[in-house]
Amino acid sequence: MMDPVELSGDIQQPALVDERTSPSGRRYRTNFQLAVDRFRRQKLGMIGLVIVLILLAVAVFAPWIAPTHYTKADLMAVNLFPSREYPMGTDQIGHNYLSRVIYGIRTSYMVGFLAVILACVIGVPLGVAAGLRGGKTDFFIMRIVEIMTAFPGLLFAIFLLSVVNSGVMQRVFSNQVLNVVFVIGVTSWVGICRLTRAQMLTLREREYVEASAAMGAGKFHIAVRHLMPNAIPPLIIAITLLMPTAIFAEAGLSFLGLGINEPVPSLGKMVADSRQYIQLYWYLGLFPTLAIALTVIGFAFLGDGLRDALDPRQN
Amino acid sequence: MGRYILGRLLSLIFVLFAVSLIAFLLMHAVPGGPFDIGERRLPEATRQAQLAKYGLDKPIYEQYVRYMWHAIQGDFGVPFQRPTETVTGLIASRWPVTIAIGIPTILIAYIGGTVLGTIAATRQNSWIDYLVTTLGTLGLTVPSWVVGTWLVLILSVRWDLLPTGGWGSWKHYIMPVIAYSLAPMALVARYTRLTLIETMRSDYVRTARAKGLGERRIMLGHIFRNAAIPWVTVLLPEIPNILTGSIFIEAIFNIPGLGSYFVTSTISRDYPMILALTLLIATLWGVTYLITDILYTVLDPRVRLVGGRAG
Amino acid sequence: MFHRDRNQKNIFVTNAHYPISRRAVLGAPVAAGLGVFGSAMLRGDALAAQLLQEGAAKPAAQQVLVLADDAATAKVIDLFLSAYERPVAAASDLFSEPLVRLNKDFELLPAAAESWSSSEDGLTWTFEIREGLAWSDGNPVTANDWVATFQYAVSPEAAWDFTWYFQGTLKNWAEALEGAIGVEEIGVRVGANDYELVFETVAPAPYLPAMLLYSLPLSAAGLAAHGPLYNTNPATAISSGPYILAEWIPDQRITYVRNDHYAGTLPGLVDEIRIELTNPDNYFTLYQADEIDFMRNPTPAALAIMQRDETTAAEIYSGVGDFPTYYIFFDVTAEPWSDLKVRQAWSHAIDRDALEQSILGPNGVSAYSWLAPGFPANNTEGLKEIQAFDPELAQSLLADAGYPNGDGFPTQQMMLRSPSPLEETVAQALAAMIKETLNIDIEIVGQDAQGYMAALTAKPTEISLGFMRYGMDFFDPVSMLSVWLSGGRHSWSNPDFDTAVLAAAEYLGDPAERIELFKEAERMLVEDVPAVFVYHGTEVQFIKPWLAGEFIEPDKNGIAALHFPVFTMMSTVPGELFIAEGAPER
Repeated sequence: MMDPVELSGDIQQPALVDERTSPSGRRYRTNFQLAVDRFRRQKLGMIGLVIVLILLAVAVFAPWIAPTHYTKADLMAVNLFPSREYPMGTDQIGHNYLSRVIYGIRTSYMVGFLAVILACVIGVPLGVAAGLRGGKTDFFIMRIVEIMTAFPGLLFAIFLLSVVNSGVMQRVFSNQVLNVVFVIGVTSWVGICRLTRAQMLTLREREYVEASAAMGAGKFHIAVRHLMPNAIPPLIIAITLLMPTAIFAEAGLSFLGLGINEPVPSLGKMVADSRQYIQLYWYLGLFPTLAIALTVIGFAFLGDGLRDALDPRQN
Repeated sequence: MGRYILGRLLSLIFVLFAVSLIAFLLMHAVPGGPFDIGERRLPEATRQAQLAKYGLDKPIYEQYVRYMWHAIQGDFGVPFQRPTETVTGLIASRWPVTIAIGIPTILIAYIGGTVLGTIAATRQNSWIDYLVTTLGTLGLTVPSWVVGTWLVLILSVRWDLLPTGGWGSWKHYIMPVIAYSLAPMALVARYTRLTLIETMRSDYVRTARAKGLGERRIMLGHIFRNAAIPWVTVLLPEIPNILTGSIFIEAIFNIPGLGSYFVTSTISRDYPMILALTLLIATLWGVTYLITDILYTVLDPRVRLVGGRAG
Repeated sequence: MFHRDRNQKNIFVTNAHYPISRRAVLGAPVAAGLGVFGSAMLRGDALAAQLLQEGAAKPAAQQVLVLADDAATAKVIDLFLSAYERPVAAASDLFSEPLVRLNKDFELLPAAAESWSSSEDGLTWTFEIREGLAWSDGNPVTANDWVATFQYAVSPEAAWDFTWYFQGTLKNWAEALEGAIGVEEIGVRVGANDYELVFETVAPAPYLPAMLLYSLPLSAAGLAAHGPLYNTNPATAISSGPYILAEWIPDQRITYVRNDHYAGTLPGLVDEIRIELTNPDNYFTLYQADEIDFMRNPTPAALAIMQRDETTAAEIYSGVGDFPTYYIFFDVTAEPWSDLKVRQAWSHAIDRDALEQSILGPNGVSAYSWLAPGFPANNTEGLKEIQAFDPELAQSLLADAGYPNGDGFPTQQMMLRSPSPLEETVAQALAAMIKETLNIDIEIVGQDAQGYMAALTAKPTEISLGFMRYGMDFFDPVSMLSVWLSGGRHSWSNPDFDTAVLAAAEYLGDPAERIELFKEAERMLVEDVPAVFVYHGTEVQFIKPWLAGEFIEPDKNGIAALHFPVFTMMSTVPGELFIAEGAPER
């Protein structure tokens, strides 16, 4: 998270590893309504939720909101400062920058969401398997995790993208947005996996799980009925933190010229491209940076709010 | 303890081998070789000569075995980009530069971040708390290269106070360290605040309060001690990141460090350099995690060192 | 040509309303708006003339030239070790004399060779080497140095990345590369005495003297004693040029100082040349902070910043560079590009003039053909209509080809080779034009040079649509036209074109007739549309006011800028540039 391109996938997970903060299962169920109430009382959390929802709406409804399609360029109107006609100005080939930002939000959110989903699809099952089965499975999975952690994330991403974008693979991976999603997802599941495993390890020692086991419930049954519901709250928080990380990762790849291709706009690429304009056309950097900042703030507030809401001691 | 560390070191060696193998296969899967740079198609004979010159005419597995065999003996080869140096020599001359930027960065980021985070946590929901939170978010949002570019424009181009970049005098440290430390400082501040608040709410602190212990004693004896555990486990692993350098910072301030080699090596298909850098990072990570885990036991006696990491 | 931008990936802005059209400069009468150039042209030349007259008198300013180059490509220095991985952005090739060099009017001047002649059949070329030239280690410069250099370059041990340059020209070159014969059998040998160098060619090669611009010899003694890398270390560096390596700190700085043993015809005016090794993205910041004296190919944003202020606007120059042409190319062997109508449709869909006005400014002029204005055999007027902008015609051609309104035309990926910010901007504008006129979707994909060239030159090629540049290596039409010969860089193949180009290249008769032959060949190329020619680059340069001397005076076409190939012994620039008053202390 220190560099936009840090892709090694170790999500910073405040205290989630710490069992003291994990709500107990029974209380979670009965406390669900309480949690919602608590969240509502969280001013910042609510602000975060509103920001995220607004940006999400922009992303989803981009084709209806944006004044023009993102490819529409007018060579007679290049490098115009923000005005009534172009609220965010125009860029060097005469794109309406407002449209670019709106579609940029769409692309970045798509990358963020899909990458997070992919990270979960890989990370959660592996984490559950490692935490629940222990022994050889755990050993094996943890070695993979260790290798992934040790591998420089940026190099991994660059290699993977180059491979995916080339030759024969080009036919398999023909959608460039999905390629970036694939690469970011594949490099960021490790944190999710670790977290899930840690949750499984701490939760399975709990009395009620032991009780279920004593009553003859199968491991699978226990995992689905008792462990997963309890592991989900910290996962949600982890995901709210992973979203901006994924968006940053795409920005970093764009800085290196490896992100989403033109003419599809993405926030990260727009910030990267605007670096040299800083002295002249400040607005080209400002608006996408603002959109990213809002995203990060929104998800950070949302995450904090969720943490507090899901913490039963907060009554 | 000794046995545990030995086990972990063995595991690290295994990881290093796996990492080298993956890196090797991946980089050979990337199309283009170190020689595809000309404006036109090279005569086939020249292509073959270049493959032979770089030892790339052998089967892949033979190249790998040969490389690892030499690497184990400490010979990492000659970088394709710098035919006059060796990989080890290149790393030995560039890494100290990166570390020289990295250490002040770490000090500023971790000390500054901890102080800010503690202030924010002890004055929760005050204006200073909001200020730290906002700045912390900004620090994480605005990329280091945007900060760096602004610094150069203002301090070098506009005011002519500092050189735009380069290496040699103390003046060359100032801007990169500022630009580089902001993001980690923001992270540390945000994280310190969270863990402190978390700990302050915990049962044993409540118990301590109930027992009538003074706030100062609670802060030092209970809160910091307990907050240190997640602090160590989460923030310590960031250090290898900083110590291996930032591509962006080094590119903008023209610092002859290691960071830029991650990109240039990949772009120029400098296989020996890529492998060495990968192994270097992997080793750093491995060692950092090991230290983290040992510190974890020191701080939290409840944890015994068995098997892998807890989380 | 190897002087190209690398590793510049960001996209930058340009000023839409640059006051000077490139044509105004190329055309003889210099009209309004030339104030920017005018003031700069007159500056410093009087001082230079005076200096040269007084001979010994040195200017008051400290004669240290500071330039910037890409740290990532500074691998070696000598051309015969690598053409592409060495610092060439600013100053290069100062350690020996080539046989010939170019003045600012692109006339071939004798350098290390005093004179040259060819046999009747144009197959054997004899160069008389100037006597008295010496290496800094005391050895005389003789024909043996060239022979050793060429023999090293063709050897498998060198695996030189520029071997294609002499392929097809020098006798036994290809055979020696393949190892079929020994390196000593190539057509480069010592003649009647040590000062006579003989080249033998495969076919008549009237262009050979021009081609031998790239003939900067390595020291035979140095090669033997220290191996090919001798010039990367000040301790073993040997020079017969006006400068010698004094310091090389990788990733930081290269310093060249005067070589007191130099006995050639072009002593440099500056005493020391410092090359700051950095990332190309930083050149402009260094320039703004007065840390370097000169840069070229700025980003559109940097250009716009310079244009905003009158003082800095006077530092902007626009030259001819290496006469590059930027073009969209197709893989004509595969669908949909195998249909000539599709290619023609694309060629008529590009509004070059709008591009020039809004985006290129001083960076280029509209192109409708391959050979740029000012380059021999240029025929812009004669070929202009073939690919002219005509949206209705473009649409009807596309409809005839079976894609009315672009329906059914697959989305295309247009590949760029480590694009500069300007190239990326232009590519975006091109994509927007194609979308507008033909309703075809284009994605723009940048790729690093290594991956790109591997994919492009693979057989069959892996790039079906791309946008890139090519610039000359030497001042003869064959240097540009040979790119399109079958089996070369692109998949387009036309035996008639091959025959025409080779016939023209080998033509020993009247040079004017030879030019006409090239024009006919170029017409075949343009008519078959293997590429849409978009613009001819006119290199933008920023030159600090304290760089003075003859180099800045306009050439015969009225162009004032640092001329190709800039500060090297292949051009006359080192003898025409000095540091005047006003330079910062160094």
